[in-house]
Amino acid sequence: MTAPGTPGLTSPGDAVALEVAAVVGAHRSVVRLDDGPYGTIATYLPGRRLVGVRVGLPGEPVVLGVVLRLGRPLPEVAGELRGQVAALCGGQPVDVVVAGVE
Amino acid sequence: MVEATPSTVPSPSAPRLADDTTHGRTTIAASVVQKIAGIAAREIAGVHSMGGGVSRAFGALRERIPGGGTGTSNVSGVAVEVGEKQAAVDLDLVVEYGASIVELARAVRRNVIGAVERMTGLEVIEVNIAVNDIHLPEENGTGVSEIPAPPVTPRVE
Repeated sequence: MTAPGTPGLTSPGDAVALEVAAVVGAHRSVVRLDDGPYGTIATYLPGRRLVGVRVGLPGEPVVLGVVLRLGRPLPEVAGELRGQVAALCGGQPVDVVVAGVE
Repeated sequence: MVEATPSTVPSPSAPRLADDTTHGRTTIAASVVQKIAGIAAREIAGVHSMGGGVSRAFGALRERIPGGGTGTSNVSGVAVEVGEKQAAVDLDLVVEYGASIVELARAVRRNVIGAVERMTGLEVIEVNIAVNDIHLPEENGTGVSEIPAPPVTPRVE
């Protein structure tokens, strides 16, 4: 788990994005993070591209791109993810894009 | 439209909106609806396979192209249109010989609507079913071919 203040991160949003990615990836209904239909849901970190999470400027929604496991209603899973991520991001709106299912 | 509140009006720029809350939007990709509809249709006994002549040919071709199956139409025989709150599904089916096609279509439609509405929260406005072919049991050597051939007795001794 990368703590905020890790050297090399260019903005405070990057640390939040890493935390969000870890929390979302650990959810049991999430198969993997996905960068979405046009590959736009990603955070550009020094040296790598973190797919599936975009943390915008304050006031902009946080965007998640996920591939979910079939079995539970998708809006329900999206709601859970939204709650977990909103708690990390200080209650910002969280857009969830279900890019695929497996 | 007496008590229309501006906060509940979805923004027109949202491409696929299944669930609009003040906490954020949930967007469900068309390929998700397509996959769920395909699985639900195949669940019904009597559906042999899916896809019409053209889509089966393209599907066979697409399987050979790397990355060709990752687009929106990787499920053969299922076409979907997904809007903000609603979805429409078109299915191409190949049915088993002996199934009542009317009953089968009804069962497929019920299962697809149930699965898509339950899983995605989208309202399914229509499921159009085209039966493109019928599968005979002997075509794949299943069923009829299990009957043993009559023993060949020589005519002369």
